[in-house]
Amino acid sequence: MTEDGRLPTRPRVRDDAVFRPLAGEWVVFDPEGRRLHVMNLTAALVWSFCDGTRTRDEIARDVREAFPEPPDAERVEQDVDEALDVFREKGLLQGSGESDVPPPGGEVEDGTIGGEGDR
Amino acid sequence: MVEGARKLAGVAESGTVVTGGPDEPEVVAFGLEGGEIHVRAPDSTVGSEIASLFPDYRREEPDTAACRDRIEVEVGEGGYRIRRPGRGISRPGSFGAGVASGDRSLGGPPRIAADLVEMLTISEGIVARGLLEAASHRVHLHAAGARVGDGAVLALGTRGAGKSSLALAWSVLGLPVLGDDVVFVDDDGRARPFRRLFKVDPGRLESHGIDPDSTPAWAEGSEEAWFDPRMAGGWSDGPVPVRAVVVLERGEGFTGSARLTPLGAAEALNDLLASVVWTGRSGEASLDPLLRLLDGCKAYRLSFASSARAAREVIELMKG
Repeated sequence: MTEDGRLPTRPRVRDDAVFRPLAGEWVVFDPEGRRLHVMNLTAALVWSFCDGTRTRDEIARDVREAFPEPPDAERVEQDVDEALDVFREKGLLQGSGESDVPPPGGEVEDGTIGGEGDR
Repeated sequence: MVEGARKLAGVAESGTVVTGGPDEPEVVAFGLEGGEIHVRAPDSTVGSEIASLFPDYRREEPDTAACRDRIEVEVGEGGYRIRRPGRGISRPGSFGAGVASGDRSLGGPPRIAADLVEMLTISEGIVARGLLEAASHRVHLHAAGARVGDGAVLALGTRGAGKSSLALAWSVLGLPVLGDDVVFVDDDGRARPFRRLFKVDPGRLESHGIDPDSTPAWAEGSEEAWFDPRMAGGWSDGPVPVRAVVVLERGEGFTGSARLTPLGAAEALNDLLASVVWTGRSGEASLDPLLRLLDGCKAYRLSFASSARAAREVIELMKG
């Protein structure tokens, strides 16, 4: 994270977060916070491209090109921004600060991380 | 003399234990996955009682090289003293004689038990933990389970949710069980039993037609009894694929048949992760085995008032 709390130019997901497919969705397990996050396709694509080599614009471009029929570019950019914001808030990006105080057990986030780019 | 209204193997019906008799102390060994826990009992009578708590993990010949934890039970003023003289490898013949080379720090002050049942309860807990730690490479789930046909059902839930009651009901119905407290999960997602006797309310045993007096280490007036599944459906041979996971919700005021509500995969995984016990693999190391467990498995939330009814409902679900 930059010192002013903004996203780094080339965001990267945490190495210890475990990403897996599950029944048509995707899940990320945060071992530090002991939380389970559920993602839809768009968020999963953002996650997969968040490897520290791509800028936000490049991530949006690659997400859009991953669809057989590329959706609207502006919509994709909004979805990417939303996903990156959520990753940062949940402490899933490298250098994104302390996780929230974990609950006694794991927790599925209310709702699903991701936008509407894949609908 | 230590008195108590309890039944002991080979002891007069009066319930009196004579201490300091001709019996020599004996070492009772339990083992799992190559690791052993040794308990030195003050005499063979007490040793037999301790041995009855983990019959499936009993080792007839203690192997000092495999010993990973030791417990000493002594009779003294006020009842029994339970000490843990130190972990690590014992030198042959050094049991209780000092700290063997490589031992870590001593196990702290002795615990005092007022009577035999309390001593057995404390000792059983220490042995159970030692056995679990010997199998720390597996995923440990805080769960009950039983085998139905060629698959298993696991029941998750917090303490008091009804896991033991459900496991007892399954056992009484003739099903081989996987446990009422901890179930192991292999790397490939299949479940295998942790053969620890069930701790159940004696009234619940009686409701199933089981006389508490027939259970191991029973003492009249005890609040809990140990139930050995071999008295009913026995233990499941492991490993077995899991076909259903039920997350228990004991319904206050809930009446009638048990209610099964389908759970999504992510919810089920979340509940499974929350059930991972620290004695085994970590949460992140458990994720892949639990994902494999869920593959081909259905998950439900189970609300019930009667464990006997719920046990039958789940069996019908599995057979359907």
